[in-house]
Amino acid sequence: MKNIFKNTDPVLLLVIVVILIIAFLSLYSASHQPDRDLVKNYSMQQLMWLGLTILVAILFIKFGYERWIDYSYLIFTLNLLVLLLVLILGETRYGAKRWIDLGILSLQPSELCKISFMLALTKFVMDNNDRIKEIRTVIISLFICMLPVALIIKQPDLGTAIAFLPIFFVVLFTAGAKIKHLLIVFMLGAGSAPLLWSVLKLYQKKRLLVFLNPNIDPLGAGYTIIQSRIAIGSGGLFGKGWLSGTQNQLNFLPERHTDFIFSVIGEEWGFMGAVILLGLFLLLIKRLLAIADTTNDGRGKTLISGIVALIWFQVFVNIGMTIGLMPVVGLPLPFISYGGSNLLSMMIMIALAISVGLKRKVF
Amino acid sequence: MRSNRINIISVAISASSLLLLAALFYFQIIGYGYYRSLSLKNTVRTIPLEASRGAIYDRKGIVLAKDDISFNLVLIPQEISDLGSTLNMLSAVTGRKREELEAIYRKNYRFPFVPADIISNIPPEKAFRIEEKLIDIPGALIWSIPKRLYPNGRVGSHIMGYIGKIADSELKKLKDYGYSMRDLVGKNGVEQYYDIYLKGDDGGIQIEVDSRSREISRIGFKEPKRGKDLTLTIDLGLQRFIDMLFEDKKGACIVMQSKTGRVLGLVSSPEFDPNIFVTGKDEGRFKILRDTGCPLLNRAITGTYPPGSTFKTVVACAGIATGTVKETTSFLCTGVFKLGNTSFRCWKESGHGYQDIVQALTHSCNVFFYSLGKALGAEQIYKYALSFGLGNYTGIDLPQEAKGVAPSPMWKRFTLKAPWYEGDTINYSIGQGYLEVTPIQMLRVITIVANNGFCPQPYIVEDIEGVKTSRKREYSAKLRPELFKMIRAGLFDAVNDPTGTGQGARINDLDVSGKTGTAQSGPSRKSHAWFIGFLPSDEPLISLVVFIEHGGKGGESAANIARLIAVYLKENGFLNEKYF
Repeated sequence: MKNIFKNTDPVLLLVIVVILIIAFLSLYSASHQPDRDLVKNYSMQQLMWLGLTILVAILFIKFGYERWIDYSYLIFTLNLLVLLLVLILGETRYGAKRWIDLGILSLQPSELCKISFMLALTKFVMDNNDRIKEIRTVIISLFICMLPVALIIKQPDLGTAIAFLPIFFVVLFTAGAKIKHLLIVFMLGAGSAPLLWSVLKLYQKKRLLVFLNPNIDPLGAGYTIIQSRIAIGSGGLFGKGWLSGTQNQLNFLPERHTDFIFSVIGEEWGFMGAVILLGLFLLLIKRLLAIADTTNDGRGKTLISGIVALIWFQVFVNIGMTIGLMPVVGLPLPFISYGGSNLLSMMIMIALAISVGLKRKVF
Repeated sequence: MRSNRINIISVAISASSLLLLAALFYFQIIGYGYYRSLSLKNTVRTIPLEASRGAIYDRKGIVLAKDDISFNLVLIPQEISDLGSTLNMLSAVTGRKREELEAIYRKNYRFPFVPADIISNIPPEKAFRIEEKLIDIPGALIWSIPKRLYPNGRVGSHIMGYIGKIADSELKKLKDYGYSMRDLVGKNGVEQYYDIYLKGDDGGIQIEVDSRSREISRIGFKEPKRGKDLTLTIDLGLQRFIDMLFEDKKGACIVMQSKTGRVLGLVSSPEFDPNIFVTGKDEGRFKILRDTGCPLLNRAITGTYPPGSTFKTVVACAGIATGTVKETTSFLCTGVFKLGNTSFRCWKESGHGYQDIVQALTHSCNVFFYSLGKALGAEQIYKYALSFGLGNYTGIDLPQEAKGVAPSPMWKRFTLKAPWYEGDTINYSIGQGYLEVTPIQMLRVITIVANNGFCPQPYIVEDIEGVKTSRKREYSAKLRPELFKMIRAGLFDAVNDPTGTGQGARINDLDVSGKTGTAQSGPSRKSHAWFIGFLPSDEPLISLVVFIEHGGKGGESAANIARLIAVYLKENGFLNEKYF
């Protein structure tokens, strides 16, 4: 335990603590309802999750990222089976079924699958590193990536499915794949977009179209975008102050404790707050990349690149979504959006990165 | 090389963060004034515009359900300056108690900008009178919204179902399909099964208003899209006629085209008036829910009952298909059948004498079927019950169809944790014991006989806004067509021979075939009466099932109703129509 603290980048730990404090304050504000006690306060529930995830994170560090990578094929396969199970059980009911119920806590296996996929892909590209320049390796990697993506799109959870793509590209890029090959895959993906469009559910199409024109659905997704923009824009330079966001407090913002938490931050803390939060995320990413830069282990380096890719992708898409730059696909803001699965997967990724950093110190 | 690539990632991320930064600068610094003014005045308001629901027509285009206009008194929360005085004034205008109004308001409050219903379904004249007085009450207005109307009341209520506010459990499942809180959704019947087509797409207007709630500009508009219209296979005239026959009875009746599966009439009695669920009067609803006759239960597809002697049709087929009985095989009926120390009686105490299979069906001789059932064994009876589709859905396009129970020794061991006795087999062979069926399953049984081995999937909805619903798959019993020759001879005689049990269904100038059933349903209660049949006997066009709960002898009450329906069908040209 002591070793972990002594040998880990203090800036990294500090950044995470500050981000978590901001998360707590924002969640508190988002679920703060002075005149109505209907809404439960999500910040308290999230604290409970935090305690649990810290324990899990320590376990991950103790176990060591190398062993996680060694066992990754097994874990990934099991994870895929769970996804399949969710799908089969979900088939008997209407609508989306993404959660596994563990009594009071429910988990989204698709969220954890991002990590097991990242580990498995790292193992695959590093085991075959001598053949990384061959297109064959890229194609097989793509196949590995498409297994969970297909299962998750079917759930249907478009946002989580899309988040697998940056992991795929960045991990292969770091491992040394030819840029030409990655570009080919990218082109193929763009080319098959119409195919993807046809498997989407009506409400998913609607959300994507709304991004192009919020007026298509002013009551549903379009309404959220318009209200979110008003919230963020009216925050101005310094914001309206904590617990004083009118859009937020007056219930104008739907989903404001989950996917749209950034609107609350933008409204109450203003441009300065938003810039500081963005800066913190960037700093976090720089520190993670610093570990990747100094480690001698190719696997650790590749793994961290995947972690960074996922965290940044979610930050970028989530914030972009709240100001209407990105379609509303339902990706949470890392560490901050309410939800145990999101926090858990973020903490596990940080734990894996810390574990990479610790190994460097041993030699 | 690798570290180089890590650097590239780092640069790419920094560069993309500039994009976000620029966007935030654009909205929060440059756009500040505009967005601040919008937020300060709370000025974006959304006014929901409810889409009207698709109409439902019978096969001739007569309206069975449609949307009418309803006038509701609503309050828009964000326009109320002082809730207390607003409620006082409203109380004076409407004559309702202030506390009552307040309770309703609190219950229906959702968002500051969404109108909350206070009084629904105000008659038009009264609505106009109230509207004049509302001018001085800020936030209160008369709001006209679509309202469901079922012009035929009780007739066909189990086909239509009704609509009601979406329940939390339903919302959870349907949220991803565009449903939202306080939507009206179909409950039961076609209203539920085809809800996704009927419901349409709600629209709304989003406007920017000034501090006095006057509209400054329109931010968004979405036109409500009307739901799709359904045309049913049901004939309202026939439906009304059957409904009349069941007026003082509990039970069910289905009339279907044998070759196509079109359901022309489907009655479950007692019925209920679906309009009661629309008008929002609680007393009426409670009355329906508390009624011991269970009017909401669709007996035709959800109720399960022992089929009694109508099941002999299935056992007879099993006997022929397995070769256990041939044209010449006879059993002697002395009025009683002994199994060990137990006696099983025929309904005719003096006995039928020697009976072959045609006679046994004609006279519904129990002893013949006891003997046949014993020779077949429970497993064989079970096998043929399954092949006639018992214990399985027919797949009719209505919700909550029941499966019933086709028992087997294995089933009994698992479910009742008890061994199967030979006495169970004897009871099984005359459709008593553990066997439970829905009327629509028996309709399938008789249609299989009528069509020499197959039954089209029964259906209710012919087209959705002019587009035919997809052709349903046919159910095949996987039996040789020749096998039904003797069965059909028996079912013809049952109605047309002077000694047949189904004479009640006989008509002079139309051949009807069928089988009666009198199913015991507990020691002290009257038996259930059944009749399943088809017409005309040679080239069947129509199959029907009549079931009367505690209706006594099938040969009397049920067969009589079948006869009246047959006459109606003939007189109204149902037998001259072209099919397919």
